[in-house]
Formats: sequence, C-alpha cells, structure tokens
Amino acid sequence: MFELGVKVAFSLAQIGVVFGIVLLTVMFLTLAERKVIAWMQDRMGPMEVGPYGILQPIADGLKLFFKEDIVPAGANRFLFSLAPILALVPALIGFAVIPFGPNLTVELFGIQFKPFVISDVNIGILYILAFTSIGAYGIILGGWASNSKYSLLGGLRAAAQVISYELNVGLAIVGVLLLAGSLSLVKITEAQAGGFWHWYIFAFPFPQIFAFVVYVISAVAETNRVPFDLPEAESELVAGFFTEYSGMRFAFFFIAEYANMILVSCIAAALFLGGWNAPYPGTLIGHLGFPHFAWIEQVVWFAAKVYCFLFLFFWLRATLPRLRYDQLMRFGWKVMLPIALGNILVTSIAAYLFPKS
Amino acid sequence: MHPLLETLKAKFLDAVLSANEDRPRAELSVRVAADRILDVATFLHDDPTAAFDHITDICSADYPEDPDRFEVIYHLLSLPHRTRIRIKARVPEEDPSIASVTGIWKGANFMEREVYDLMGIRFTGHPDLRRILMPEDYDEGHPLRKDFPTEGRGWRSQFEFIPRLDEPASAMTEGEVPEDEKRAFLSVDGASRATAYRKEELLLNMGPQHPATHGVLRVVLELDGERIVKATPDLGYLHRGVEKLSEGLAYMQIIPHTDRLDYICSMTNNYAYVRAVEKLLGLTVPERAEYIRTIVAEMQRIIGHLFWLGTQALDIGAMTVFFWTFREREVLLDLFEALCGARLTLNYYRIGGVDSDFTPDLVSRTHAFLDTFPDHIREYDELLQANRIWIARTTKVAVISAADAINFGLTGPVLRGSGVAYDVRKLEPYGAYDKVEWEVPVGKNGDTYDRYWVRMEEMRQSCRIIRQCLAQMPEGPIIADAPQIIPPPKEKVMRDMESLIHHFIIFTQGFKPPKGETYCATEAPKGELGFFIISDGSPRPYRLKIRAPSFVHMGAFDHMARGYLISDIITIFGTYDIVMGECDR
Amino acid sequence: MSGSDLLLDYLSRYFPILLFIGIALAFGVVTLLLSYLVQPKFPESEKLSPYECGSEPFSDARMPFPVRYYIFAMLFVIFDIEIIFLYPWAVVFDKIGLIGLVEMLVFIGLFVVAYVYAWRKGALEWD
Repeated sequence: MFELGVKVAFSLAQIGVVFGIVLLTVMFLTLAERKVIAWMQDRMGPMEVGPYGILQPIADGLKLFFKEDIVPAGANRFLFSLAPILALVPALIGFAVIPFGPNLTVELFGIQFKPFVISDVNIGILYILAFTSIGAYGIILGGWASNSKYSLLGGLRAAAQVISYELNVGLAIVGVLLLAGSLSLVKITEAQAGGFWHWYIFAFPFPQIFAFVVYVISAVAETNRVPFDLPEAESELVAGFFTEYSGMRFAFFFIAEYANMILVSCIAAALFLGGWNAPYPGTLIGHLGFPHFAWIEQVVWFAAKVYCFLFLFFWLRATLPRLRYDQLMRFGWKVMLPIALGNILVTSIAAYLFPKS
Repeated sequence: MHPLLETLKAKFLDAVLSANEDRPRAELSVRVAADRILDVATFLHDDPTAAFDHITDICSADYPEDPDRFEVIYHLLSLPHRTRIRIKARVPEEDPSIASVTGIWKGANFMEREVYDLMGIRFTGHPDLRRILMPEDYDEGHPLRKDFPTEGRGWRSQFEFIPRLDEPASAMTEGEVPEDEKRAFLSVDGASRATAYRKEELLLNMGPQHPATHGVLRVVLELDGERIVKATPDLGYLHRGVEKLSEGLAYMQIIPHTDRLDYICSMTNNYAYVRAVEKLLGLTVPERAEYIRTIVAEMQRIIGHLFWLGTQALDIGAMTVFFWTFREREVLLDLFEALCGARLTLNYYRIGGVDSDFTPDLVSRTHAFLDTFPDHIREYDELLQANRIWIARTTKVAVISAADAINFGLTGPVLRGSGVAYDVRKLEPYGAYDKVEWEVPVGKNGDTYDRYWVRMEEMRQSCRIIRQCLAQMPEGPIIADAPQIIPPPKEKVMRDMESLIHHFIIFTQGFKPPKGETYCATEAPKGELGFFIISDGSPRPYRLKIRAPSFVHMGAFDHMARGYLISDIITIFGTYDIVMGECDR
Repeated sequence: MSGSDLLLDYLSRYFPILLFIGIALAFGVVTLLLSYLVQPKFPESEKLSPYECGSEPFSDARMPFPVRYYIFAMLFVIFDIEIIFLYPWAVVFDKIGLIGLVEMLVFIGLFVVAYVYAWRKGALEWD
C-alpha cells in the first residue's frame, strides 16, 4: 500500500511539473512569437504590460478568463463546449511519453523511478499518434457545432488537412522505427547516443533526412500553422473553426495549438535529432568529472532542440504566404506521400543490407 | 469640325440632335435622341473609324425646368484612336427610361445601376437593375435629383441604433432571410437558377465586417464547396453623397472632400479635382507648381502602391511585407507632413497651384528616400517574387483578358496587367509627365501576378520621375496669378486692406467659372480618376460626377471571381486595390 | 513472469498515463467552470447571432457539404490502416530478415497500386 502511495505521489509530482512546464511554455510562446515576429518586422511587439511586455501573456490569460463566453444561437451547446476540451486534452497528454532527459533511475524508499519521463510505455509513438488524432475531432466538432458558415468551412478544411498530413507523419516515422526497432521514445532516443552522426537524421545506413523534412512540414500542417493555417486563415475565413468562440473556450483552442507545437517539436527532437543526447559523445559535465550532474546538460540539449523547432515555426510565419486549399492537398498527397513512401522502401532495403551489429 | 462628328451627323441624320467640338478643352460632345441611343452606341463601338471600345463613365444630370428633364451622359474612350467623346441623351420626367448599353459594354452594368439609383432613370434591357449605393429598400426617391431635399434627418433616423438590453435573447431560429429578400442577391442571371435543384450551394456573406474586404464592402458568394459559383458585390456602405454635397459647395470648398474619396491617396484626388476645375476655367499653372504637383502625385502613387502591396501580401498571408511597406510609407508621410502639415487627408493642391513650396530641406530628404527605396523594393521582391507559394497563389488567378478588361472599362494597373498600355499620363500628358523620361509597364497574361509586377515596376518608374522632376524643377511662383480666382497670400491679407477685401470676396462668394462642362481624367494609383463638372456659371458646380476607378472595377468582380476558390476571393480584392471611400463616394 | 505480474507491470506503466489524462480533463472542465462562474453574462439576440460579417445569415449553416471532403476522409482511413501495419513490421524488422522484407515490399506494392489508382482516378485532385 505504501509502495502504491509513493508511486502515485511521484507520478502526480511528475505530472504537475510537466503540466506546469507545458503551460508556462505555452504562455511564453505566445509572447515569444509576437516578439520574434515583431523584431523580424522592424517593430517592438508588446511593450505595455510589464517591462518589455513580458507580462502580456498573463494579461491575455486573465482577460480571456474573465470574458463573457458566448454560445451562438442555434449552436449545439454540448458539442460546442466539448470541442475545446477535446482539442486541448490530447495536446497535453501526449507529453506523458516524452523523455525530457536521460533514462536514469532513481531510488526512493526502495522504489525505482524514472524522473524524466512520466511513463516509458513501449508503444510511445503509437500512443501519441492515436491521441493527436482525437484533437482533430475537437476542431471538426467546434466548427460544426457553432452553426456558422465560416466555422463550418474552417472545420471541414481542418479535418481534411489534418488527416491528409497525419498520413505523412505516420509514414515519415516508419523509417526511424526501422532503424531503432522500437516504438518507445526512450529507446529510440537512447539508440542515438554517441554524437550527432548517430542521430537518425544523419545516421548510417540511410540518413532519415527526407523523413525529417516530411515530418517537419507535415507537423507544421497538422498544427495549422503558417503556411498551412488554412483552417483559421483570418483573411478568408475570419478565424475558421473558432470564429464563434470567445473567452476561455477560445483560450483552450489557443493553448491546444501551442501545446501541439511543443509536442511535435519534442517528437521531432526525440526521433530525428537525438533527443537529450549532446551532439558529441557523452556530456561535457560528465567528462569534467561530475557524472551525477550530466542530466542537466542533457535536459538543456533537449530543450535547446525543442526551442529551435519552435523558433522555426515563428520564422515560417514571418516569411511565407499562405497556401491555397487545393495546393495544400496536392502537396500533401502528391509530393509528401511519395517521398515518405520512397523513404521507407530505401531505408528498409538499406537496413537489411547493413543490419545492426 | 472633327471628322468623327461629321460621320456621326451624316450617318444618323435624325438621331444626332447636335454635335459640338470644344476646341480649347479638346472635347467632343454629341446630343442624340434617347430612343436611338443604342444605334449610335453600337456604331461607335463597332465601327473601326470610331472604335470606342472603352466605356469610361455613365452619369446623369437633372434639369427640372426642361421638358426633357433628365440627361444621361456617356463618356467613351477610343483606345486605338486615343479620342474621347461624350454622348448625351435627354429623357422626360414622366417616363425616364432609356435603352441599356450593357450589351455593348459590360462595364455599363454598374454605371447604369448607379444612375438608376441616384437619378431614377430606368434602363430598359438592363439585366439587373436595382439600387447599388443606396440601401436596397430605400424608398425616398433618388438623391441626385435637384428636388431631393438636402436637409433634414432623413432615412437614417428610422434606424434602431440602440440595442434593446431589456428584452430577453431570442433564439435565432427565424434568423433566415425571407425568400424574397434573398432573391435580391440571386436575381442576376442563370447561375443560381440552373442549380436551384442542387442544395449543395452555400450562400455566404463576405463583408461588410470581414478582415479582408478592404473596408466595408460586402460580397454575397454562392459556393459549391469552396468554389465560387457567383459573387455579387453589395456596395454603398460608405456612401456619403459627395456628389450631392458638392452641388452646395463653392469650388474651393470641394477640395477637402476629395481627400476623403480614396483616403489612401488624397493627393491624387486633389490633383484630379483641381485639374478639372482648371480645365473648366482655362487656367494655366506656373511651371514650378506643375513640377511640385507631379512630384507629390508620384510620391502619393508610391504610397498607394505600398499600401496595396502590404495589404495584398497580408491577405495572402505574408505578414512581414505589410509591416515593411508601412515602414517606407511612414517616411513618405513624414515628408508630406513637412510639406503641408497633414499626413492622410492632405488638402494640399489649390486651384491654380499648390499650397506650400518644396523647401531645400524637403528636396534633400526626398533624395535620401529615393536613394534607399529601390533597395527596399528589392527586399519585397525577395520575399515575394522569389517565393513559390506567392507565385502559385497569384499566377493564373483572376485572369481577365485585354478585350474583357477594356469592355468592362477597367483602367490603371488592372488594365495594364492585361497588356493594354493605357496610361492617362502618357495618353494625355499633364503636369511634368511629358518633360521627363519614364515607361509604362505592361503585363502579359492579365493575372494577379502580372498586376503585381506592373505595380512594382510602377513604383520604380515613379522614383525615376521624381528624381528627374527634382533635378529639373525651376524657381518661380507656386500658384497662378489670377486675382479673380485665387485669393491673395495670407501675409498680404494681414497687412493690406485691399487684399483683405479681395480675400473676403473670394471666400464668401467664390469665383464664377464660365458656363460649360468638362471631363478631366487623371491617372490615380488605382486607375483613371475622372471629374466631370457641369457649370451653370454660378460659384457652385451644377453637377459634379466623380468617375471612381474602384467603382468601375467592382463591376468586373463577378466576372473575375467565378470559378475560383474562396481563397482566391481575397486575392482578387487585393489585386483590384479598391478603396471603398472612393467606390461608394 | 506470471500473468498477475505482467498485469501489475502494465498497470504501473499505464497508470501514470491514466492519471495524466484524468488531470488534463479535470483541468479543462474545472477551468471552464471557474471561468463560467466569474464571467459576466449579457446575452442579447444580436450578440448571439452567428457571425456572418455583420449581415443576417442567409440560412442555417447545417447543410450537406460537398462529397469531396468525404473522399479524402475515406482515402485517409484506407491508407492509415495500411500504415499501421507497417509499424510492427518496422519494429521487428531485424528479426524477420529477407522474408519480412520481401513480404512488406509486396504489401507496399499493393499500397502503391491503390495510391496510383486513386491518383489516376482523380481522387487526389481537389477539383
């Protein structure tokens, strides 16, 4: 009984920390995005709330929290309220299997824990793919339940877009699985230790660079970000599927979008860029003689990779115009899909010719 | 007499009532019998010696004392022969109807609707004759008629502006528009009727409150999935009745009103208006003033095109370009501020000249801008022209052929993008345009990309023009010496009794131009901005008609939008470069 | 490992995930409820009307929408299932050798045939 209690307490603590970090990062991201894009556009970004506007996300959050939450007449109240939750929850729970740091085991009261991953399940990737698909329901339901044509069009677009690009994500990942031989994100990351030339993006026998490109582009499309932000293209569909949403429900869609960005960045870092592994063998702190603190460096490496991806999202938004819907679908089905498929064929043959040890 | 008038007279003995050539103003006008208008129009359009392929404008005038009370005035332009002609026809008050010329010029559609709306003249054979600027259900007559009251609270007082908070919220189950009201938007032609049995068509409102409609424009879209089956623009949300207002104002007082037409490019509106008045008066402008006018108009063109580029890019999703163009626009607005104290509604041009002089400081600042601006254009090009998504979004979108563009009466970059090298600055040079070297950029395919390219190139040409003008600008006065029209300078008024009286007289009574009428076209950034003034010899215009390019361009909207995707609608909005202040007047 | 041990192992692995799902759901519901309690409520028919750019909506938005979206949904379902089959194969690829490779090549070949068929039939065209 005591053992169970300790385990639950430890899990709760882990969940609390991950939850807090994700939500804080989302808050920080909304500000960072506005600031980064502002600098790219020769302007200041938010400057009013707090020094250099750093308290802006808090002001935004409070405002949305205390704002009237309008349910349009004719909307399906239940689905209308359910949709934001359906969008938010899958985006958050994906973090349960992400390894944020090395696969250490610590002992507490005689019970073993892994501090840097909430649960190292052996189907990590499948779990994430399965739950992020549910997020698409939130968008579709939100669009349909609003009883607004803009929402409906946005929801339809989102549905078709998300499922099209999810295929490519699924195919792109297969190459990595071939090389790693596991679905566990911890094992996949561990297999990439020992320098950047072991990262799957560069790895022998067949570098997964094509899969990486397909994955990144599809991830941008799946999170509905520029240049694939058609479901919420403000100049066409006003705000797409969340046109009718206000207050906290709107905030949920927003948090879901940013949480999804973090999630896909984490996955990309773990699958292709070696996760917590430094681009050189071992760790600097470890070489200096403090192997017990090596995890700090590794967590920093993981965070750095994730933030690079997040910066890429901002960068794309500041640079690229939006695609048109038919162009988007054509690109997904006729360009990305064959590339991803070809990558699987070549990788499997290469992996057969040069088996692991 | 002009050979064309001879031909017309010979050919339509009974139809041509009078033909007149106004030599000083180089204008031709013909009065024809109303019932023969279609024959004359067909001849003018089809005959190779006439070839009036471009319809510039249709307007109307009201003469309550005459038995034939209303006059419908057609302004035509022959692009091959570079001549303009004005056709006038009178219709009586009891039966104010005339045959529609929409069968000859498609662009006449919106113009005739405007005449019907504001003057109450019915065009028989018009496919879709209903109000355009006034509300659909407006039932208090036709505002431009002389007997329409100019005072009183009017129709607006009936609006219920205050939301009723005391009543409980009612569910919107009855929110559907009644069938007959809906039909108003569907009535034009077969597009909706043919598909009436298909329930897949979505009827979608775009505007007036929409992020990408460039002001309060409303378009009713019939969608098949995401494809546009039909697009019906609904104009008039910004209708302020400038033309009616002008009839009660002295000529000088109208200049600030023109600022509010195309509020992005006030300078060019001022320019177009004062040129029309000067043409009416036969006034010549000092050379220095001409150069300053040209420079300022070209600066305004750059501002207008920067604004267009920013908003078009923003609509397509390239956010950064928008902020970058506004950065450069800011520099030019600062120059305007130094020049005349205002930044947006400038009111800078004066009849006979300009308000204030170009100081050496201003000249050097303008040079500084010109030195850096081409690099900035290259920056925009790097973000857009080199971007595959941008190219995919703009090529083969909203294509309009040269013949269609002319037939719809399009002007400016929209027409030039289709490959027609029509530019008022070249065709009828004014200002200093004939003294400097520059070229008219012309597109090939008539798609959005070509129009983008044309406008980018025009900005470069504008730089060229400004640079040469600055180099050539002579010293001298900046306003004409015509005491009966132009008030004395302020310093003199403060000191000199006679000047004070002179000032007082002009500002209280205005000046009286000769009786007559004139049409004067100016190349605005959006297209040909024309002012048509009828003077009855009083200090106020009897009728002032503004030929707004944005309004004419909206007439071709449905034609250009059909068959494209809903995402392309905003590209089309952008490529027109419409400003509703000018469109609705 | 005995059956009960395996069960325990699964439970201890998946319990944190269940916990996480529960907490995320609770976070969503509780935040919405709290916000509901503190927010002002002034409903009014104009405010509640669906957004259609300031005009009266022409019709209810709940109408049949084009079949095009369904085609993509069906294609997705078909192809996604095929992709799922690739996952276990990829994981055990090391152990199944040449036979596994050839079998999967055949499978992917079938996938490609379906894909090419859809392409040729114009199912991948938006219009």
